[in-house]
Amino acid sequence: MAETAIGVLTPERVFREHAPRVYNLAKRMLGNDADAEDVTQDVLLQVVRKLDTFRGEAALPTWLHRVTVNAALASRRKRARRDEGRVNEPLDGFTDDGHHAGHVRPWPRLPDTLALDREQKQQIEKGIAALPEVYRDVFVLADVEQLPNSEIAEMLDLSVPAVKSRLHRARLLMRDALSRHFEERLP
Amino acid sequence: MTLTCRKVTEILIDYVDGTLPDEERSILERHLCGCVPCAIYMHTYHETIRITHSLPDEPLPDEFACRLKSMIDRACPE
Repeated sequence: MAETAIGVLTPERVFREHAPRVYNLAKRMLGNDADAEDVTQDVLLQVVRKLDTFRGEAALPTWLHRVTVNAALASRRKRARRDEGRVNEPLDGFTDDGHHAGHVRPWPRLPDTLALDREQKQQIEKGIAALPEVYRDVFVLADVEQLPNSEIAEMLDLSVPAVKSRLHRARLLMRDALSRHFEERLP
Repeated sequence: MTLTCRKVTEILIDYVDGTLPDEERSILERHLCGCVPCAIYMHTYHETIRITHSLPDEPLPDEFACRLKSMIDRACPE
């Protein structure tokens, strides 16, 4: 077993401490439970079979991100799912002379992420799942996983400007999706 | 130089990550001071980023957790 600074990295510890992260990343990228389970299973089995080769636990999260992203992209290619309809274009919401076409309404004061209630978390997950895949991958890696754009570019084989452009578009779509929920909560 | 609301929306990402050149940043901030819809839009864009950061991971579904644990145990017998 691999020795780390804080103990022995066992299959049991990998399962307990890392499986939820792998599963949630895969589920957010793929948008469904069954594919996320397949990816989690593949990734976890790869990891536990290679535990002896790990030199330090610090390397594990980075490696897990990379392997999970690759497995999720491969799963998506295998399904060749191209069933996405037209997406509402956030920059359509402007008049010809560049003004906001409709009312832009404020949201109520929201707590920190950890203090969000179940319904609010579900709305965020729903918004992520509804993003087109090209935007969803970048959004999940940048804004949920908080990886640097350069690392995301390398993982997804994109340029850094392409990552940034997709991220911005994803945030605009997410903002619109969350607005539909949060604006309704205003008195 | 002035900015339209649409242009403001296009460059929000650079403003938020601090890569907008100083001159454009000043123009954008002046616009935000005088345009309530853009100020709200900016705030909600920021909120979108903030509340999505560190979205907590849900636990594995029970049935899948059992199945996965069995597979790992079979793959790595003690």
